[in-house]
Amino acid sequence: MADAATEARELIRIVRDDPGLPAQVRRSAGELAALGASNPDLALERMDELHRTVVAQLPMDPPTIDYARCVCVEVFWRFNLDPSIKEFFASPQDYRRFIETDPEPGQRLAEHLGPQLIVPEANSWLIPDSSLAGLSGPQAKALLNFTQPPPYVVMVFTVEQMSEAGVLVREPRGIDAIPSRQIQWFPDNVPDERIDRDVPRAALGRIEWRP
Amino acid sequence: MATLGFPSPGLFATVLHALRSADPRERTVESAFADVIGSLSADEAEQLPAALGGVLTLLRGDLDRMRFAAEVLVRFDMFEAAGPLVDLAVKLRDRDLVLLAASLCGNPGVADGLRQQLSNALNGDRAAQIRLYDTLVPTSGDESLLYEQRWPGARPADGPFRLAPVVVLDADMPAKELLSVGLRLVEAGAVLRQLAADGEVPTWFGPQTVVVCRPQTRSRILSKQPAFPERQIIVNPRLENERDYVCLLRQIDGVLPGEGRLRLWSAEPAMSTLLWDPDVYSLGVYETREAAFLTSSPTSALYALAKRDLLRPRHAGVTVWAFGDLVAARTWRFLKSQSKKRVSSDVIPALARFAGDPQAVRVGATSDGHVLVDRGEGWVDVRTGEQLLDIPITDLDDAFRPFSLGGRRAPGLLHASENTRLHPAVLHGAPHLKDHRITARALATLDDRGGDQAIIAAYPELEGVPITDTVSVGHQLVGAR
Repeated sequence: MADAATEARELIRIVRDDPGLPAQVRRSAGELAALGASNPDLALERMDELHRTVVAQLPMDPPTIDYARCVCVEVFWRFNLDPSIKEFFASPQDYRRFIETDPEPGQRLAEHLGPQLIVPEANSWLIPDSSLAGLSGPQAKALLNFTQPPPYVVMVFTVEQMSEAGVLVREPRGIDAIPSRQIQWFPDNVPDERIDRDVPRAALGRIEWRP
Repeated sequence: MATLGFPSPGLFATVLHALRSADPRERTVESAFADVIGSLSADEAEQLPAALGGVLTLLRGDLDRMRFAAEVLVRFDMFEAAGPLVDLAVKLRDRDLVLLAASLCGNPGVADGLRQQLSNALNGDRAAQIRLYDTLVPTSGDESLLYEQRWPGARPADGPFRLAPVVVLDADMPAKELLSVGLRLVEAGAVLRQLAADGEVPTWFGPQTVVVCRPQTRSRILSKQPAFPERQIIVNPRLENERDYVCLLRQIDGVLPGEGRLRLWSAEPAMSTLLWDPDVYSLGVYETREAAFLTSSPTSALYALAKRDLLRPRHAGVTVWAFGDLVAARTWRFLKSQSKKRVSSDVIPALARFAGDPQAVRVGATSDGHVLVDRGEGWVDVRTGEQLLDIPITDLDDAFRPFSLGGRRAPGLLHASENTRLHPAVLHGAPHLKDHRITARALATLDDRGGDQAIIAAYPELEGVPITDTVSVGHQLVGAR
């Protein structure tokens, strides 16, 4: 766990040095360097504010391929389970074991999906579905630089459904590293990764289980 | 850990920073808190529940993070901090917080008044009530499923799927140990519960429950539940290093019934280097002076044992000894240091020829030459497969600690000094600097040439790293005779 000063310094550097961001955005980040050294918590809040302002203005395009979002079971249990299902699973450990014994885990996960947003903008990191095709859980872990272990839940968003739901995508920029404090981020960290605005339920094609 | 003193501002700040840095949409509870738990002092570990409870209200503007913090409390069953969680759950009427508060208040260590306060706010919420009370009778399949998760004594032997095993930790364990064990158990897929020192022993323990506790707690449990299998109560495990934690996990896994037990992959990197693994135990190459230093034997004594065919070193230009030879010679000398009676030399070939055991949690020896393994169910003779009772057995871990015999001092085998380590799978078993692949001998050789300057010139990464004790070990290795 990096301290606040390290997080502030690194996130400022990531945004300031990202050639894919408008010059004004990079300057704004750079101007926070002194605050990052003297009051890193305040600097981080200013960076959060910068993120909120900037992401809405970055150009986006319609997707041309299927994309996927890969999460661990705990995150799925926490945010994606329908509340009427979640209330009967006291812990993600028990939910994982329940899904592991199901003959159709992908199907079951899809049935358990709640009506809420699949993922909000700040976390809408997507990778081409083809990148994950045929990969086991451990292989996916290596590709995505995950720290949490498999099994994973892979939510696949098809081009058709994303288009119908009005989903647009763009390349991630340094500004996107701010909400989750991803101080290890660098351009092309995960090849062909894209980021989106809020991803609605309607954009989902199918769910896959990766043990 | 069952006290609730007041955390320092630094601890509050650390906890708050950990929560603000951990994105609940990307991280698991245990990954978010592993760093925090590892860096706490003993006092800070005691205060962690209070610190977590204290920062809950500061997170009111970020409901996801507040729920995440509450999950930490529940995942580690920090029942001492139930008060702030109940207050917030009732005030905000947030369903997730209510369910989490109900889980936490299910611990008998929570005051009745607090449990009642939450119960009064539940308005017939069955999922919350089942989490809170083991006396509630489920009225549907879903409710039964939840009930069995929460109260493992109700689990049928042949349910549709295996629920997570429940491991109960004595809340009176030192707080740092409790958190460290708890973290590893959560990583391994267990559900953690704490048993308060002065709380009632619950009646919901079941076949998928293991208890780790002190002797007094064991007595409390068995007087309340005489039918609870004693093999599922682990008393006072040693927890001095990573290997001890791995052994404990393996021991817990070993006593859990059936399939789908712990996910030991989380400890596998350490487990794969467990000494007793046959692939590991057979490694290690030691020339005679090294072997002499590590076994506290004169070199002449080692050669005498070889002449009697009790040890069989290899000859490859020089005489080289294997790790098993070191263990054998050292254990024999250790047994002699502990007893005025004669110790049979039969233990030497028995240990030297022991091939390792992939399931061994512990290995032991008797003074009359039996080698035994404990795979989690008691000591078993490796040759006969019989359980040995009522015979003094020396745990080889004890023989690995420093001891003295005949005016010679044996250093710790695996930890020759504070910063020196030995493992047969690392650098052919040579004593080396902790966290570095640099042998103690190499450091001593450089030290002879030019002191610290020569060492840093050769290994710039050692700037600022404590090495003095390892250099000293290296000198002792070189000078052993």
